[in-house]
This record gives sequence, structure tokens and C-alpha cells, in this order.
Amino acid sequence: MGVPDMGQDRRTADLEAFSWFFTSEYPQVVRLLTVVVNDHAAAEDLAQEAFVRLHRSWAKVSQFDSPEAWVRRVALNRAFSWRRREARRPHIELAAAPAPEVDAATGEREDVLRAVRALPPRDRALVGLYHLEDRPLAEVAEVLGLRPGAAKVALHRARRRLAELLNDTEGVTP
Amino acid sequence: MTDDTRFDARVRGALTELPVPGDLETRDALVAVLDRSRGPRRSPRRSPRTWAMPALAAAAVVALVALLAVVVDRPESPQAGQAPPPSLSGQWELDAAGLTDPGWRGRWLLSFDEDGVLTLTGPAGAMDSTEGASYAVTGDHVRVDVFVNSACAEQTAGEYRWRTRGDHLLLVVLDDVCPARAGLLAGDWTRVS
Repeated sequence: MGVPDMGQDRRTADLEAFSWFFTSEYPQVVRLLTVVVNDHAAAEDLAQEAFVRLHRSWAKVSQFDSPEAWVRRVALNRAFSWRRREARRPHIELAAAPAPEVDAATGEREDVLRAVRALPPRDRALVGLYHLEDRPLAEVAEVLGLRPGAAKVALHRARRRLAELLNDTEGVTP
Repeated sequence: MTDDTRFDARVRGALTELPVPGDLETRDALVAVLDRSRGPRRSPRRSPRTWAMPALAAAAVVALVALLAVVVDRPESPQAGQAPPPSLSGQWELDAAGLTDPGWRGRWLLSFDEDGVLTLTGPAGAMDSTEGASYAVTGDHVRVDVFVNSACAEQTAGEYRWRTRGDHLLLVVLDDVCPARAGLLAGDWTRVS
């Protein structure tokens, strides 16, 4: 009978735990990053970079209270950097194609997405974490590295700005 | 409904329509992340002690190779005629919506039967033969040779790590030279019976 390889058992358990975590969280992180960078392919690349970092630190990060917050923080920081790089690159303006006719629901969705895209990247992240992922304010603050009070103020301003862009100022309590 | 709640619902409704990666894309991304994570890291900044770097790099490579060898180590061929582990037995389903081959898209059923028989049933458009497929379990590894007479002809069996949690079976690719098989099997299966 061979001697049990405790190191291999640990690595196997880590791989399984990471795979479960990845399967559960990766799609959500990609969608969150899509809100911030407005580019699905870039969001996938950035999310994968964050999960590579997570995998390399899995033994430590998996012991944290919220690995979900950790990977989102890394992913969002990368997304913010990506946005800064993209903003410095020259862009060629293409002639706008005529807008196809859309139904009311699609039009409403496009209106909201257009308004979100008009927000600064950090505000998009706030809106994504709060509205899309339905995270409590304390978690939003943790992910973005803000104090809860600062996160509350920033979120209120972002919602107010979004409501103005949507001509829906009744929707946000002053 | 208050105005705040209505506004929240309006924004949430639009954002949740944004696309998320499907099962197949998520599986591919997991494989890519594991590959990249195990790949070479960026070169560290040079320090005055450059004499030590080659030795440290060599040690790191040796450690990495040893780790990969353990992680992807093939188990010995299992005994034929085995019964499946209780947690693996039964029937599992997966909605393979994102596969490249349109004929393979749809609901697949997978069951690990007695005597090492693997039964895989695809949607109506999947013409590839799954007859005569077998599996073999060793610990948390499972080797499968499904599609050996069709999409994966003349290719070796694929090896996966399996784990169940509740009504879910997660299959992770360890080694499979047949991308079509890996694309279908790797992922999160749900128990049917």
C-alpha cells in the first residue's frame, strides 16, 4: 500500500474548488466588466486575467471572507486601466448606420444602456455592482476600496446622473 | 412600487439583458485560465543579485514541472466491469447551447452504467455515434472514449476530473485530444435521476 500523497490531495481539492468558483463567478464578472468597458470581448479577456491572478493566489484568497469581492476588485482595476489606455488611443469615427426599428422593450433597454455608457467608469462599476449584481452597499464599498460613507455618496451621485440622462429624476430620491 | 424601486427595476432590467458567457465559453475560459496560470510568469525585475536568478529560475521550472506532472498524472487503467461510484451513478443532463456544431446543440443525457458502459444521448441533430462508449473511474478521474467511432475517431480516450455537489456533476478536462468531446463533456451537468 502506498503512502497517501497529502500534497496531491490538497492540489486536487484546490483545483476542484477553484473550478466550482470559476464556473459560478466568471459569467457574472464578464457581465459586470461589460458594463464598465462596453466591449464584451475585452471584458472576457480582462476577467480571465483577473482569474489567472486568482488562481495563482487561490490558496490564500480562498480563505478570505469574500473571494468574490477580491476577484471583482482585481477585475475592475484592470478594467479601469484598460479604459484609460483605450482613451489615449486615437479612434476613427465611423459614419453612423441608420438605426433599425426596434420594439419598445428593446428601445427602453438601449436607452438605459446608452445612459450607463455615458457615466464615468467608476460610476458604471457602482451601478453594475449595485443594480446588476444586487450587492449591498457595504460590499460595493469593499469591492471598490471605498469607505461605506464614500460609496453611498458616490452611488447616489451616479444614480442621480443616470436619472438625469434618462429624464427620470423622479426615480432617485434627492 | 416607489419611484426609487421603479428606477432600480428599470436599470436592473436593462443590465441583466447584457450577454453572459454560456456553459461552453465558460468551460473554454476555465481551461485557458488554468493554462495561463501554469505558464511562465513575467520576468522579475533584475536585482543586484543576478547570480542567483538562473538557479532560482531552474528551481522554479523543476517545481512547476513536478506540480504539473502530479496534476495531470494519468491514473492506471481501471478494472473493467466496475460499478460506478454511487455519487456518479444515475443520469445527468446538460444543455449544450453554445457548441460550434449546430447539430450538437441541445439537451444531452449522460449516464454511467454498470460494467463500465457510458450512455450518451444527444439531441436529434447529433448524428455522431455514441454507441459502445465506455468509461473507467479511478478515484476522482474518469476516462471516457465516447465518439471513438465518429467525431473522435482514432484518438485516445479523454481524461476528466469529476466531482459531484448536490445535484450537480462537474467535469473538468485533464487531458483530451478531441476538442469536440471536451467541449461537450466538460462543464456542469445536472442530475436527472
